[in-house]
Amino acid sequence: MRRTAPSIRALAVLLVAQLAVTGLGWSQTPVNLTVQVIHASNTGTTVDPALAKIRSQLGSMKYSSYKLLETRPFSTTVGAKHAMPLPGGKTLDLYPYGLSGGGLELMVTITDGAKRLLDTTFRLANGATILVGGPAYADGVLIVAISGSF
Amino acid sequence: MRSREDGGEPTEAPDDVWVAKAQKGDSNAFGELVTRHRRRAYQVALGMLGHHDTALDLTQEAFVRAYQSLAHFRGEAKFSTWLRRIVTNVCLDYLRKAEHRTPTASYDEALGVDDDDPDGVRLASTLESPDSGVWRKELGTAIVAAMNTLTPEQRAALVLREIEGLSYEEIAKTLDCATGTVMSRLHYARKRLQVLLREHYER
Amino acid sequence: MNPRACETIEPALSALADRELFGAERETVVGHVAVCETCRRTLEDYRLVGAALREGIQIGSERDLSAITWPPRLAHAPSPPLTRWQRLIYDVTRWVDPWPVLAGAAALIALVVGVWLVQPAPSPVNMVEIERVDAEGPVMVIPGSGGKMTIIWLFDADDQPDVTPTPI
Repeated sequence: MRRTAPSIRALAVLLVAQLAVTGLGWSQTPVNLTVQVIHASNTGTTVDPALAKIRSQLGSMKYSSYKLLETRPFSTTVGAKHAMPLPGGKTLDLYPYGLSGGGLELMVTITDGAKRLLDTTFRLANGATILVGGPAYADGVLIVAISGSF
Repeated sequence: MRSREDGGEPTEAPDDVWVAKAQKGDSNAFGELVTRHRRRAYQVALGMLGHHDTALDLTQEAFVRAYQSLAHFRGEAKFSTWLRRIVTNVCLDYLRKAEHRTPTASYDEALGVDDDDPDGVRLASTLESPDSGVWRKELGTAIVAAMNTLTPEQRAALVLREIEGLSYEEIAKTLDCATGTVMSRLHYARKRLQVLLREHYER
Repeated sequence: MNPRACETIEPALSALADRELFGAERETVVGHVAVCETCRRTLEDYRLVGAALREGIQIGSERDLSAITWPPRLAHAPSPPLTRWQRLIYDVTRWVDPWPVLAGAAALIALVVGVWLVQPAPSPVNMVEIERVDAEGPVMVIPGSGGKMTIIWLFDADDQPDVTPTPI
């Protein structure tokens, strides 16, 4: 059986997206994405009111302080690539690479220099939100909330 | 005029003639089109559903819908192309509804003996013809099981490519999606089948 | 063969098999396949599956199809033209007995209206289907449902937190 190295599978998805955009032509379907960057820590008890819902979603992974560092809404199209700097020198890459089954297919990577902290693909229903948390930042962690509508 | 069941191009009057007659209310003319195209339409349905009786029923259903929509057929595409799209959509509708009713409908039924349906002829059994070896029988059953794990859209893309031999652009038009989506569906479908059927290749 | 190259090429193999790859991408993939046994095997696997599927369908379709006929033998097959509403009713009753469905729909509407009258609208269900997650360190995926958000939580490979996450 031929096994695939996880970190390399990302390149496979990348190639699909690249071929689709340059060679076969994805439809230019407009999509709206919103990225919220949150700093969660156990220093202080500040919770941005806008983050109360997210805090309630985190189960036992709760922190006492949640600060919204940035909200970035943007309109894009399927097949377009977006890179966004995250605090601490990290980078968030977003690739909406397809629409299927009523959902938006997204590839998301978070890199820290040469280290690929996360590389994932998923299908996001219209209006849904996914939380990516855990990367260390300052005295706590970063949480990235990604929502999409299309 | 002599009719010819599909599997090749008709030797005499083209489809357009029969379509025009049928559009004027000639039911026999539509009967001619049914006779010509039912085998290829059935092949698409069988590929997507994996079950003879259901494929038979839905192919008939597709012809009913085609007849009802015949007034809207303007002849921009071939009749066979137009019909293929209808058959595919009828099967997709069925599979999507079947998924809601029970996640193991259609292709799953092809896996075992269904006591309630002794006359049902299944895709798995089509690979068990008398001259087939054990390997082909096993592979046929395995393919049916593997196809069941695909989404209806992936099945449709695979059948239109492998059975109908359509280009990605033609598949995209049939399924009303982007060619990139076709490419992605075929990639994931084949990858999944490859993984699920690997033991059969490596014998 | 460098496995990274294989992984990069793999998604394009299906398109190559279908002769749907062109230009520079095709040259890159063809050049790789020429020297890569693994990818050649994948292409052969794809070919085998396609051939088996075609053969199965071919044999299956050699059966008697005279049941597909015109006029249809189905007792419920309507004659055109149908109005839009007739067509809708036909489509529904084609697959399900309408009365239990109508009764159920009426009950459901009554329930929804009742709930709507006494309670604020529930949060929309978040739906995220994770296809693949690769991470440098340990990772936990908590699927969302019933209004919960899907969470991907990354742990430092060398420094596990003392909290014990529990699925929501």
